[in-house]
Amino acid sequence: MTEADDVENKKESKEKTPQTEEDYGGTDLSSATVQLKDITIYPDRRLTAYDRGPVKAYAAKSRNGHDCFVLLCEKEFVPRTATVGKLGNIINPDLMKPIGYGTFFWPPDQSFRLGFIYERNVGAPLMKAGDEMALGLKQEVVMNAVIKPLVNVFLDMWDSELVHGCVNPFNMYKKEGAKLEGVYLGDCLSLPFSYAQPALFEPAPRAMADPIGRGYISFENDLYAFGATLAVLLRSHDHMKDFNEREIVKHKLEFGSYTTLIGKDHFTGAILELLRGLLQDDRRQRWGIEEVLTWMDGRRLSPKQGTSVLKRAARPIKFKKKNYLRPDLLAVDLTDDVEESGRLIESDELNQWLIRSVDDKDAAKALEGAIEKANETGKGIGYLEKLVCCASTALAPGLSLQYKGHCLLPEGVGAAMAKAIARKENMTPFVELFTKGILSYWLNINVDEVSNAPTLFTRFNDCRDTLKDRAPGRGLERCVYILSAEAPCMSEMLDKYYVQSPEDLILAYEDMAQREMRLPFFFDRHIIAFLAVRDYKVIGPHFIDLNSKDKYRVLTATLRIFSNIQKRSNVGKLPGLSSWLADEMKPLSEHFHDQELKKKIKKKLVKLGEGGDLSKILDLLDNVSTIETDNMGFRFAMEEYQRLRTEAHRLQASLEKGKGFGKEAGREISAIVSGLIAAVVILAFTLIYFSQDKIF
Amino acid sequence: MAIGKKRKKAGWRGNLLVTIMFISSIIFLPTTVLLFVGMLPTIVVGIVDRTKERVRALTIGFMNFSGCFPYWLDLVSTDHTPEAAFKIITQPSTIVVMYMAAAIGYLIEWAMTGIVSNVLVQRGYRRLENIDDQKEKLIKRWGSEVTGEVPLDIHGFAVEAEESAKESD
Repeated sequence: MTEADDVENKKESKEKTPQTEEDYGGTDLSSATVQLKDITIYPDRRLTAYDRGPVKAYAAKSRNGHDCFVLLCEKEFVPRTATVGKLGNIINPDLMKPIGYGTFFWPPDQSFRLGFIYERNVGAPLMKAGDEMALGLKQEVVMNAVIKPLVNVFLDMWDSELVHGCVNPFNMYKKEGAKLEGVYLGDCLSLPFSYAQPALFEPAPRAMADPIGRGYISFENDLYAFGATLAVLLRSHDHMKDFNEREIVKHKLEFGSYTTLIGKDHFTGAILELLRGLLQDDRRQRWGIEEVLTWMDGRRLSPKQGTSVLKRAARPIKFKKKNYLRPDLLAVDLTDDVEESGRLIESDELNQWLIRSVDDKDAAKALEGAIEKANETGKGIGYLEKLVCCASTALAPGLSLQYKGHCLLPEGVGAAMAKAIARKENMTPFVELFTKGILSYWLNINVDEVSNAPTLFTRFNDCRDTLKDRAPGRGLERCVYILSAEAPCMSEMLDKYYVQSPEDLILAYEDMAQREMRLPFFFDRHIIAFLAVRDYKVIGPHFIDLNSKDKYRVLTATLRIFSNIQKRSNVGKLPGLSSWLADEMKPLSEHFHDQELKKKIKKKLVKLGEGGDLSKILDLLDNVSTIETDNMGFRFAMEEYQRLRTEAHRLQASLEKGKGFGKEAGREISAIVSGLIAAVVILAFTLIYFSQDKIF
Repeated sequence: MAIGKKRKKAGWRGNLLVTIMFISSIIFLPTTVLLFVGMLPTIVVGIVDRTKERVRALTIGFMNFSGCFPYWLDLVSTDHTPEAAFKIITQPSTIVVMYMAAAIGYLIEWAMTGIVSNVLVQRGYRRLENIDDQKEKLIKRWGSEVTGEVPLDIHGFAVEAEESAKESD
């Protein structure tokens, strides 16, 4: 069992596993139900038998009255929502498929939760927590009830390019009836890959990693888990009963998976070939689905047996008073004492041991490379941890990297970061994995073993780049969403919501508004980073505005982003959010110069706030022609004001002069008047003179 | 000074004009004598006038000339001789008429200037009131930012007191 399972099982140990309706304690079914589409969920009816580690099961009922159960996901364990569609397309009676999924309000913790709904037409799981992991079933029973149906399931999944990630007897359910006549393969969506997978069912490199840090698995890992499951069902003794997970890993490394799982049991006949083929530690030699089908057709194959080809040393090396003959086993234990490991690595002793005793010059060269890598970032704080991490990777390529208490495979870093953020754990080790180039180093060493190495290189480089920048929308928060495509927004502001998309974000704000739980602002670093990765077009053009100190620019950008999301997503009217935004946007109406326009806009804003259409609010406040007209009007008004002021100054100065004002004009007018009178007089005299011949 | 400068600029043209006038005054000596004596008030005002473009002299001159005109008309239409001219100007009534006309010109100038000036002062005050009203309307519609007396940000809005305090820090 995984550590997570152990913790959960301790919590639930006092509860009796319910198997029948009576076991539910006769709870009143009508009280406080939750509705997800046409499915009714009963938060007061726990179904511990269907729990998946930290994911708890509750009773539900479909509209047509079928008994169902819901697996209630935890935000910190990123579920595989992207796989739902593909899984839904598989038609196989032996594979449990969700009949519905989605987010719903969960009254017990007053928050929105994601859940997957399954029909409850299955029996008890093959094994329960605490059971001895050896069922000693007969080969014929296993063949008919487990192998045949599950091979068909794997074939269908192979065709759909899907991997399950949680193949083990705890996640297999009996078909109804007391006898084992068939099994259903259980849920694979509610948790990250392999999170609820006990180490026994994982190949050593993955088993060594923290359950949350195992990352994406390949189809061959499903087949390995299938082999391990068969071994557990068939074997009569659990000789690893007292081993913890780390000891199981080391046992697998030292003696191989087959020996670890089978132990002293002896199998004969065809099943032996299948087990050997599926439990191959060398993944290149492990059976694939084609070999399994060939085997089922009755043709016999002869898989190789034994551990991987790592060399053993002729002479042991001592570390913490223990002798080691294998570099990979030493690599697993190196992080137990970083200072001691540092001394061992930096001294020539380890190098000489690799060359002379192990006779592995490549490993010695890799170790030199690791020391060189560790020295790249100087011998300051964290040097020893980096040195030990790189050295253990060099000694045992393929094993998970171990750094400051974390044991991860690179593909699992995203899920591990999401969990750490949700739990508010120290994120420094994760930052250092990128900034110190530890992940890239691991990937370089294992480039041939990782199927999507180029993609991972690109992502890690993106993360390293984004960590250099502390601006909102970049930094550590962004790394989570780059590396974990299904991670919900981890913002504390959205603590009560499960936001997987920009649409979910505005719906979450709508819900907050309806519940009168308005926040002081709309965006924090997480939300900006989330949108930037999930839907760059929505937020990308507004980064500068959102990071501006000018509140008007921030408000305008906020409105544009939300309006854009609403327009694209067809979520319908959002009266709560629009009313909230209308209130928040009041300062924007102050950003017009024309006071009459301001009044009109304020009135309209109140009306539009009730309407629920964010784009109309945007049109009102962010209308280019209105803004330009207002600006132009303001400029003209300023010029007019200045002109009037100048005129007033001039006039005032002239008037203050007193006597002189207007006299010039007066003189000019008097000259004209005088001229006119003179002309009249002259004309009159001339006429009189010529008519009377003489005047005087 | 400005007029003086202009006269200096006139140069040979001015000299030519003076010469022509001088010759004309010799040729038309009776007219010259009559007008010189009759227009004496205008000549005096023209010399002492400090108004722009010597408008006052012009005003008085127009009226003064209208007073001289009947005598000059009589002179040119009867006996255009220096003796006749002397005979006219030696009559006291002639001088009275001519100079009274000039005095009327002066009265016109004094009255019209006073009236017009008064009217313009009143109009000036009304215009000032009108400007204040317009300024107030502009402030009411566009805010105090329109005055240009408030510190503005790049968008043309008043910089808040806190921000300006920060800036000054």
